Amino acid sequence: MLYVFLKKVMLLLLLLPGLSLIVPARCPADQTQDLTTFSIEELMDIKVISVSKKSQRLSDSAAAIFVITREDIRRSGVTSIPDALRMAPGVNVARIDANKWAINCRGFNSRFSPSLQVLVDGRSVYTPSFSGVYWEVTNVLLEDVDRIEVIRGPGATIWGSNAVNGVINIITRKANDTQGGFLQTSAGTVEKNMVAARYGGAMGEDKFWRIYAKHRARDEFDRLSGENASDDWQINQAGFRMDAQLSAADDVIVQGDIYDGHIHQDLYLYSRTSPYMDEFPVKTNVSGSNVMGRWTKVLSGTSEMSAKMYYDAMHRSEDMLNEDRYNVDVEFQHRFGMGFGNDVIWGLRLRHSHDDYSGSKATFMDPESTNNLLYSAFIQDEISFPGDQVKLTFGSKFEHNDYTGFEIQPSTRLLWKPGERHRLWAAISRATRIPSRVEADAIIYFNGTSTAGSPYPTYTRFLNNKDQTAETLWAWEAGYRFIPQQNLSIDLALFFNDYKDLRIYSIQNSAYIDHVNQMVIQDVALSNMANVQSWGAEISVDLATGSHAKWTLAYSFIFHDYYNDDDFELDFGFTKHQVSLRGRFDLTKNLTLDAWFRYVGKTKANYVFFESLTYDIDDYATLDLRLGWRIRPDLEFFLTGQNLLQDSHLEFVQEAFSYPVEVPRSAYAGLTYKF
Amino acid sequence: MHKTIRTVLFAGVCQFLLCMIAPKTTLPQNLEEYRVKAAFVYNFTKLIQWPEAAFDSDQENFNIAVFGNEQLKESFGTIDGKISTGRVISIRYPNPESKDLKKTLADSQIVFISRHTSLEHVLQILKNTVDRPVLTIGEIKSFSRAGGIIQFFTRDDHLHFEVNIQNAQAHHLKFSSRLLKLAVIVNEK
Repeated sequence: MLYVFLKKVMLLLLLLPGLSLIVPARCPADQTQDLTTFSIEELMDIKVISVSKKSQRLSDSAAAIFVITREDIRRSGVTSIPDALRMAPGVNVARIDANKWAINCRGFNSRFSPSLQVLVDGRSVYTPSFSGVYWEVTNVLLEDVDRIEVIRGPGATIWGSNAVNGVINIITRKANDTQGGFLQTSAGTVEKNMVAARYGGAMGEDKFWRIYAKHRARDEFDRLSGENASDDWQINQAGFRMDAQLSAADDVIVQGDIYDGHIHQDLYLYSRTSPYMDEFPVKTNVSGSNVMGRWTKVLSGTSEMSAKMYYDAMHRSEDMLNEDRYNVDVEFQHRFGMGFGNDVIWGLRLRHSHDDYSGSKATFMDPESTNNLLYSAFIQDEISFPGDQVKLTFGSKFEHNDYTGFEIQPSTRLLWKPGERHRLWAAISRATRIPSRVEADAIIYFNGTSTAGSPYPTYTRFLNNKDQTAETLWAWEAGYRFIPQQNLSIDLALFFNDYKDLRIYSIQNSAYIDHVNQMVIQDVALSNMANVQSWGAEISVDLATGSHAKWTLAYSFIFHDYYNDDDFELDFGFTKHQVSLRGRFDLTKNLTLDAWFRYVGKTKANYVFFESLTYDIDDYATLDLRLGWRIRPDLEFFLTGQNLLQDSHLEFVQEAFSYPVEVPRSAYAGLTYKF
Repeated sequence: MHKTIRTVLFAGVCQFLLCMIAPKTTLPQNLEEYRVKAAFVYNFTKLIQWPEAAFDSDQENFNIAVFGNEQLKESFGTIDGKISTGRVISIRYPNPESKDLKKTLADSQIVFISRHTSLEHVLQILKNTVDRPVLTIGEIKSFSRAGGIIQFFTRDDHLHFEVNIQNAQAHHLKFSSRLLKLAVIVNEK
């Protein structure tokens, strides 16, 4: 195994310098170039920076926002979006096994975290099945990510239902910025092998395109008990993007992706024969495709409108839940300045979703296939007061869904700039979470045992509730950003979340005998009966010590209070303390070192196979290291070690169907070549 | 070993072919905003036609008045003294509160007002250039609504500009079709 790996690396090392002999290195653009020799068309193609611009875009928003840049992703050595999200404060990321993650903002974490909105270039990727995200198929070519914007707290006014605890915006670069070729390959212990390629070109002066493809295979982890978890998987993905400027005022983007993969796992499911629970090795086939078009028309320097439409299909055959889903989403937005500092934005959205769950083994949907329609409108006004020191934003979303009808999700945000270096903001917002398809229509068999004094087995099952109200959150937030000097910035966010009518499962009065099917049934049913209050703070600090060392610290803590009518204890998904400290060091001109320390405090996870229904997960601290060596301007070698501080550690468990699996120490090495 | 050499050669040929079709232009990236804006202004002097009355003589300089902070001086210094359409570009940085403001503006063919200028001063400068053959360039929102002609704005880190055609006509300025093709046209009065 190691030999094969070494041979691969050897071949690559031989191969790539061979290429470099042939390809002349591209000379870097001269920063002191005389721009008067440039035509106006060329000037419009130049990317400009202004000293305050980047920090301004961040610090002028009245929300708890954190941006993960392409450079952050590259330098940290992360290989997936979930791992990248660990950089952000207030985001709980936990790996369940080789192919599953639990991710949420500000608590309530689980594999099926239902309160996070995730968008890839504006395309919503959460599945209405359980309102969560299949992170393992949420893939992009990391090299082509421009940035990931992580917004903690509700963003429902703009993004709609489900943007309760946070919004994650994954934004890829324009095709204009990804011209030329990119080749990357790596191999390692957990990151078994990876090959990615992209090529971007131009058609005329105003049309740019790129195509990419990547393959990634990951090795299996071990269970806490030491046995093999058999959770290796691989996925292939390809896609394209085209950015065309039809005129000075019209931009069109067309993009699409297609993926196909298979994921192994051992599922622990109910069975019809004694002992009524059994382990099934399952190969999940996942595939999907999407295509999106977006047209933006600039009406003036202060107004523009855009129309967006996408089609998204996904298939998943996972035994316990088979899902085919087809979404069509149409969106329109218009922004205009109204005088007296008013900047109004309004929009309309229509989403149609068709699903089919036939063939599922542990989850039974009724109806098995359905169509859902979601339509909404929103309007928001941003008022800049004279002197540009105070900005007030208020607006609301009005959304209609098939489960709970109309939902109104307003928010008010205030930003105050007492000086160049200080920003203060406060916000009050309401967000709702509508029931998922599983919560509304499914019966899930998750446990089977023999019954004392009866020949029939007892099956425990989750029972849906068609008569639910939406969960609501009123969030009170405030923040302070302080940029004392060019090389130091501090960002503090405080929040108080008041959740009402959270849906929880509770055991129904007594089991009953189903004579036809010869079984005893214990139902666990869903109802809107829990209320939770949570509060906490997140702080992030960016510091540059000299021009060769940069530090980013992210710390968050959260407390919560859980109560419900029945005094029923079911309390999970909160991690009180969490720290991430990254150091980026430029050792020499061509040698970079990155270190990333993380501490995640004790966490309780929901686990139906325990009497208490909760699994206590220990705190852990770990470290990633990455060494990058730029052999030539166009060729980089990298070596990354992940989770280095211990052989393996437990981060989370899935609610049901599987055993606890640990995340092992790992390493991978590879090469990046650009041409 | 033979196999390796063959692979290297094959990859090399692929490389070479790819290079043939790769775009050749290398534009500088991430330049300081006002250096690029200054270069825009330089281009405007070529792509916009001023009426003859705008200049006292054929030898007169292209006078550009720039309002803003210190940072702009360095950037606009890069076009100061350059020659465009046979005239020497001369940049001045008047104080919007000075008594000579009116006279300075009367001598200028282009006025650039950065976002660092207070709204009150912007309006005052625009008031003093009404109906005269002066190209007013600004950055603040609703600059063109306030009577300005060209307004810069940024989208996706790239510079764009809006042209208020009615204001341009009122100032007797003729924009080339090439320039108009690149602009976002507004007609607000």
